[in-house]
Amino acid sequence: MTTITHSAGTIIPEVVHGFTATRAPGTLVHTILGSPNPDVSLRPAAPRAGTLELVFATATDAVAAESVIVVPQVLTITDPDVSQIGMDFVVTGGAIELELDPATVKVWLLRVPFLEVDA
Amino acid sequence: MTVSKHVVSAIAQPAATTLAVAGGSVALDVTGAPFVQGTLRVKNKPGLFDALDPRAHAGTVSLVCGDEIAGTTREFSLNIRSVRGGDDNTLEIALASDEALLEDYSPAADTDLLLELNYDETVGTGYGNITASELTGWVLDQIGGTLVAPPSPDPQLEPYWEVKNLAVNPVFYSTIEGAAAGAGATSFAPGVSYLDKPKSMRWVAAAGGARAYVAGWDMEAGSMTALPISAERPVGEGLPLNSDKWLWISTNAAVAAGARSRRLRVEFRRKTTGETVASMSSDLIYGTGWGTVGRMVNVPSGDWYMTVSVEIGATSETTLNAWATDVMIAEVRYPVRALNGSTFYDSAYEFAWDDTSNDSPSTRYPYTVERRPEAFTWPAGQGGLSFLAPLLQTVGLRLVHNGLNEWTLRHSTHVEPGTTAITYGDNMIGYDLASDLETFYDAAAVAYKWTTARGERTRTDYYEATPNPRRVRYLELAMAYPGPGRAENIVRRAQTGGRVATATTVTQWDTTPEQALTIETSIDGHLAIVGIENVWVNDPEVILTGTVGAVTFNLDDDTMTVVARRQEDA
Repeated sequence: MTTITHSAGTIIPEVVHGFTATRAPGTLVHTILGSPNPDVSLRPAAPRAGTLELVFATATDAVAAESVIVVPQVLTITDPDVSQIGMDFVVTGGAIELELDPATVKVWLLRVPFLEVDA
Repeated sequence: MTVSKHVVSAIAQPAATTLAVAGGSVALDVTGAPFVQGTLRVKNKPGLFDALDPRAHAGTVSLVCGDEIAGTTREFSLNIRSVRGGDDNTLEIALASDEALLEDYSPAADTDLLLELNYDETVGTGYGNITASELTGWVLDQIGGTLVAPPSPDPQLEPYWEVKNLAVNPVFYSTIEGAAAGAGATSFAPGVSYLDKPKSMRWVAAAGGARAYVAGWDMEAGSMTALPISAERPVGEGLPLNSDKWLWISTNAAVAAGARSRRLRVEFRRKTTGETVASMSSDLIYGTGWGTVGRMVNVPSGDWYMTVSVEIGATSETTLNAWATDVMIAEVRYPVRALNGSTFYDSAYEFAWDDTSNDSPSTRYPYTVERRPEAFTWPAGQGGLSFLAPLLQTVGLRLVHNGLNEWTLRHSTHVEPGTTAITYGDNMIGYDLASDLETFYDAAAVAYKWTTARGERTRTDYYEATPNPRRVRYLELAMAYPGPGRAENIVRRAQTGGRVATATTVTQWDTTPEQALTIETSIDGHLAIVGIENVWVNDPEVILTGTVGAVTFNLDDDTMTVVARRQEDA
């Protein structure tokens, strides 16, 4: 069971339908004139970023979750089954999307763009 | 392939605030002051703007930059000059080395550094002996800075200017006109040789002391007229002298064995009543032989006449022999060497009588270098660097703060240790070659314009590197003539630029201006050497060297851009 903890409680979606995290590498490559071998300047990669797709059974739950998500704060996601996705994150980049699932026309989807932070 | 890993840490003082550096640059440039300037973009956080605010406190940023793989580090401690930030949650901080602090400082009142440095031509062998490092040291002291070491060589920066000796018969060559016996003096005689002085006046006195008047002076209707003290009548032309002015009055006096001390005494007496208005003496000199006795005198206002006498004091001997010559009365603010129109010219001055020899004032004229004493007056409100730089430029020196803790005076031939090489096929990311007539000069004229009590004055310092110069730079400065040299240094510096080679490579933290530099590049298979020797060649073995004129460390992409200069011949 995935739990998102916020300053005033928790959000527990029915299921996290998707989790994709990307990290932009920071290392710089400098092309050297007249040489096939570039010089490399090592830099740390950016933290994990992506979009969480949360599924809620009712519009009420989905809207309640959205009203929490839009509050500027550091959130924490945990999942005892997949501990690797646990992180502190902020909501940033892209757009917070609330959608009635077109496939089921029953459940509600809340897409949350995130960036991992070191809280 | 070279792998590097660059790290930058920054702490802002005085609150020891750690800054999260997002980017920026640090640039060092020999043609600029401040020598080190930087820009940092840091992440904003609550209270950070106030902590950095340069108006609220004199803040600094300590930067430690390094390459963890190469094991090199470079530290800077730079002053915060400005901070700005907006809605993007970052602050941009402008940084500069301590030249900026020096320029911030100015005296509250006009300050004559010749007085502060006790300029005195009568001691030592030269004309005052003020070195570039002494002058700079005094100015730096105002902001708590010191030079790590004097430059080598440490050029003299003393003034050379016209000085008139108002005494009309200073050496008593054939008469003692203007002199008179005072209390206790007998056997008064002119033209007496003693030791190596060919001419002097001599008097004899009994034990206890004696006085002889070596000059008399009368002031009437705003002018001073030399006259014998014995009879208050003018001889020679009157000389303009405003009251509330300074005079340097001295004479060279000698005593034979038995005499204990001697000094100069100056008295101002009211013309109508003879009452003494003011009197003053020099310090006592003990022992026998010749010695200069003199002092600065602040002329009182009103109608008065002035007497100058030498007093000698004795012990138990019954007879004293005393001599005096080289009377010097000059309208100056500092002790100057005695002179008369018959003095042989030396490396600094020519001398001439204004009129009849030994019966008129005499003047010294700067022979090789004129450097006005007014140039040493630091005007209230002028920044320290603005005051100092024109004086230093006449002797080809540049004041540099290295962005950490060291002030140095550098000649144009200064070389820093180490070498930087940027080579095509090895580490060159890019390069640029530009030639611009705007920054090229082979001659320069620097006009100095200033005002003295005698009206506006202009002196021009001109230098040309070739007989028929192509471009002359003209510069006009509102300041007293500090001597020649700036024009030459402008041209010499311009000759090392003009055609500018710029190259970029991955940052090497030990690169610094005035260090040896080679830039080697290639176009279309032809190897071209772009040191600043301006030579394109096909010989791959030839590498020409110059020096680093400027280097910019770009923190955004871990590269540095180096601008080359031609190394100036030592």
